[in-house]
Amino acid sequence: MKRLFLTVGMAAGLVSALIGLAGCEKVVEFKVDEVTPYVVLVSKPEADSMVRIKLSHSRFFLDGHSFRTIRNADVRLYANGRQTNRLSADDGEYFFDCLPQAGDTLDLQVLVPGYPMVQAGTRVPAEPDVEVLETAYDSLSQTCQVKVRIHDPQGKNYYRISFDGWVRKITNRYDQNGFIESDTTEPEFISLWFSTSDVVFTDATSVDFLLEQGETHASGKSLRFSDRLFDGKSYTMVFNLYLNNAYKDLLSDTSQYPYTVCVSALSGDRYLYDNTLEKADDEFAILSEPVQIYTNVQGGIGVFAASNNRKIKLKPVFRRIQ
Amino acid sequence: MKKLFCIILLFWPFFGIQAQRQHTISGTVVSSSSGEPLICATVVDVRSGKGTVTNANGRFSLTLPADTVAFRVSYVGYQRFDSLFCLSGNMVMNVSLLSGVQLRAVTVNAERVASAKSSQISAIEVPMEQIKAVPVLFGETDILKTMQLLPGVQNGTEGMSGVYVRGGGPDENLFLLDGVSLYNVNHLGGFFSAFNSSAVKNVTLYKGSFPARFGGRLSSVLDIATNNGHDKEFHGDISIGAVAAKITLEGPIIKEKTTFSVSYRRTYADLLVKPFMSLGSTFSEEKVNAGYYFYDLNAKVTHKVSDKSRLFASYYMGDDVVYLKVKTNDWIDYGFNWKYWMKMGYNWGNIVGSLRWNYALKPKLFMNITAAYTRYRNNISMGVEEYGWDEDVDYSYQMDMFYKSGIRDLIGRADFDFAPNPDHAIKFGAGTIHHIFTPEVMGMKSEDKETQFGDTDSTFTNRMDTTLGESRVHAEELFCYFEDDWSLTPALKINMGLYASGFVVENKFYPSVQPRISGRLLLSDKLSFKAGYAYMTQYMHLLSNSSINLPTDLWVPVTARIAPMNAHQVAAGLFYNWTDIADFSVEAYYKRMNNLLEYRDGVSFWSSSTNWEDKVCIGKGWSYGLEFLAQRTLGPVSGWVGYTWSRTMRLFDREGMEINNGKPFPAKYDRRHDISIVLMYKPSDRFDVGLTWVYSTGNAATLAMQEFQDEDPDSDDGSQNVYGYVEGRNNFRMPAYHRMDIGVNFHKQKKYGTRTINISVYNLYNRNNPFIVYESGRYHYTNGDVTYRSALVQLSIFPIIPSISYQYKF
Repeated sequence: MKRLFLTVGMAAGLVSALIGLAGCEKVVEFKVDEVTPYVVLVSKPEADSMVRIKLSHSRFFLDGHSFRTIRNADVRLYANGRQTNRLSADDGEYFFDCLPQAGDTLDLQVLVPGYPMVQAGTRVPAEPDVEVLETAYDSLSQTCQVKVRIHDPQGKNYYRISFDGWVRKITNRYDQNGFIESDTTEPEFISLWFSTSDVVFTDATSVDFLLEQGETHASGKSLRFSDRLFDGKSYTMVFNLYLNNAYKDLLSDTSQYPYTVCVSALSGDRYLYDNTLEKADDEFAILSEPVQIYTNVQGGIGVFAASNNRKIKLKPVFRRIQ
Repeated sequence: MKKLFCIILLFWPFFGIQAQRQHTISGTVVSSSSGEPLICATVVDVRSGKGTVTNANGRFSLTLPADTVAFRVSYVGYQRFDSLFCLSGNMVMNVSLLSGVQLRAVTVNAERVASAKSSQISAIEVPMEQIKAVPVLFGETDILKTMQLLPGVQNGTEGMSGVYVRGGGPDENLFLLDGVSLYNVNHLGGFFSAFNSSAVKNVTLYKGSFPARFGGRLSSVLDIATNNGHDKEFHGDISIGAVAAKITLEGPIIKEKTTFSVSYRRTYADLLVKPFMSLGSTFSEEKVNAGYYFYDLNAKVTHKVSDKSRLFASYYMGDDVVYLKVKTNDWIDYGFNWKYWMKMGYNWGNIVGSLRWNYALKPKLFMNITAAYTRYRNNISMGVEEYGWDEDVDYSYQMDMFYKSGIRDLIGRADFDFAPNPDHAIKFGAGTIHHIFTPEVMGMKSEDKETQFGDTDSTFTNRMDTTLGESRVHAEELFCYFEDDWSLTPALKINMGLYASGFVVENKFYPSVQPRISGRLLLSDKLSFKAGYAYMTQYMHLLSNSSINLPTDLWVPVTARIAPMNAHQVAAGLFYNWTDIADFSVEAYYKRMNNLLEYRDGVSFWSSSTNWEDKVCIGKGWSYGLEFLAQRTLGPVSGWVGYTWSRTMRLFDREGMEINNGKPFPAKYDRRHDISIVLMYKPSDRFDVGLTWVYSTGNAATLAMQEFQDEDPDSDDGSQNVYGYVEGRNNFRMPAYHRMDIGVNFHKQKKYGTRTINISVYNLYNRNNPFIVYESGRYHYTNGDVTYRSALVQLSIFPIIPSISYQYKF
């Protein structure tokens, strides 16, 4: 028995020593084609705005160098099949004499020396048909509730919604007696945090993990959604806008400091690109599946996708919100 | 078509019945040394060439014309039994085979199921002697790891027990322990399997062309039978290895009538560390007790009521347990008295219990009635109690938290074996499974209480009691089956059948009719061609957190939104038996799978059960490959060489459920090449050596190789973010995996039994195989300059690992 324990003890010691001594880490080598960069094209044209195109090189994920812009590219933009004039180029940014309108088709061709041709196309969506039905404000909870109605045309449509408002920042100071004195800054216009429990946001990434089965809750400074559940119909959604304690809202004077809701009609490519971009950047997604960022750029990566924005001023009615 | 099918089913048993007067020989084949029934022993009339094999209870039934019969019973490792008699009426023939064929080798014997003459394709039976001789990690005999050495079967990550069969996922395998399904087959996250080899008698793996009696999973069936126990003498074995210690006892309760078999295995590292635990604590009043262990208990009682009737009761219990207990004595801090304790427990494991009645209704008809219960659960609990007091204040805080998930099944089934004549071996049966799923329940209870003493005592109490998560989900699964192993001609034999099942969940009924067929055509005495087709349906999914088998993986049923998975598989191959030298087989397969689930991009695995249907995509997959196996079964040198060429793809292109932009992508465990070489050498009864070498293409992984910059879509100040660009799901190949293991057994006959010392070395040439890869920064020194560069680093967790174990068998 003694011999047995001795043998087992020696074996355990030997195992521990070997595990400790053996090298367990090794650097992985990559093939040349795995480290070759792509041409990155990023352009998000908006209706009635000048088209801007950004070109750069991607970088291998283990290279720490800064991103290199592409200054010597031959960039051609076609609006409804007609080539438009390039106005200027500055450090990888190319501007065009083109103010696209709803329904316009934009096509892009980019030639970068040493790379295959990069191509992409997009169509400018129609301005979203939106109305604000009701805006209620509760000063006690500093919550603003907004009902927005969308009249969705037939076909697949994608939207983004965000809210902006005027606020003053609050800085608290304590005097000798411990009393709080608050200073407020000059008014500034910021994107407001808001939330919704509407089912159209089921796909939103910022879903609360404590929800029961079937419940949804999405929040953020902007949220995207599709018309999958209300295609071709009118649909009403409710949003709650919050201000945290660091801000003082200026809703009491909406004539001077208006709140606005911004609803954008997004092209399908833009919707997918922004969604994947947001998911890829979700720092709370621990142990999650990697995100494949959407691209509609052939021969490169990035996005060329249009949107059409509509802003509406809000006029809140003061009442308690249950 | 349906009518024709019904007519065939009705009259099937009568096909082939001949006009000549026939009688039936029925009985049981057992081992003379242990009384254990021998499964798949060959029973044959040598004169006519008609024969059969024994069933899972060792029973057989052979109907022959009234004539002289040259009756022969054979089983590998046992002396042949021959008897010549005149068959003039039905008779019972119980045969006890004497062990005594000295093979002088560990026999590798897949022939009993998948030989050139069997109609079954894609099935392998692995004898326990062989499993015990294969060198493995820490010398701990592991059934699943031995299965991973067979062609068409792959492991997941280094050292893990995850089994991936012909492109299927780890949840697509049906693990049956004495006919009852086991949900969690891993210990320690998959480093060890839940099957204690000391308790196991027989292992059969079906990886395609499933016989109709099996259902419920898409990719494989691992049918494990445990020991009944010796019916004449008491025996046992005790072993201690680098990781665990085991004890097995078996013997008669009533001689040759009632037997028992009990096996227990437990890791012991926590017990060794326990005396030193308090040394790690910096606070002298604190007592700490923490550790991890796993254990398995297998118990079985068999009672022979009569020659016709037997009762079986079997029980399995296995758990992994992580525990932490911290307790203090009373101590004083700034005049205030304190004491506290904290307890944390994390345990997960299975319980399986079954009662089975085996009865010979007629010489040609055997019945098995089974009632069983199986449960997998995963519990996390934490409790804290804190007390503080002085003459003015009495303070207490209590908190309890828990997390539970699991699945329970109540099973009832009846199975029948019917052998109307030597050309037909019919099996049929029906059953029901009541599933109770508990996907995830979390709860917290706390009480904060403070009493201030004064002229009038005042007490402040703050309580919280909350429970979150899903309640139980009940589901009902019903099934029935019919199969016939039919010898149409001496050269042509087919096994055809039907498995019909239905699943009721959330008021939705999912029916499924699953045809199965396989056939064998003897091209010569030693060469055969086999082909088979099977359709399978699976009604549950494992929501898996990662490639590692974690206890937090959740079993969930199909729902009204998520339809059952199904798979069609065809396989065909050539089988050649080179007498007494080797068996060769080459088999090709194609499998198509529907309604597979994958997590959506970016979905976090935390709290998987909440709205889990929204977190997954539904798609399909396909896998095809070629498997080659050459094995030598007899002689001092035995073993096998297996090679698999395969391809496994996934496609998720449904609208709104696209993965990889709706284009096909390789599955995580898509591996082009998989080679395993297993060699065993047994020059004498005192010594044997085993050597394995495995090679496989590296696992696929998803890696963002390029990065680019763009605005955060939610930013209101135009701030730029850096994003990783993933070219495609599973776009990166990890380095290839290969490893060699060796194990040597020294046996010595002692006064009361046999002593065996096993010395084995895992990863003999210390290959750094990838376990995980991660990005890591490194400093580089060149000519006095120091630069910092990032690198992708692979971590290997198993370098060369020698181990020793001791076994005493009596």
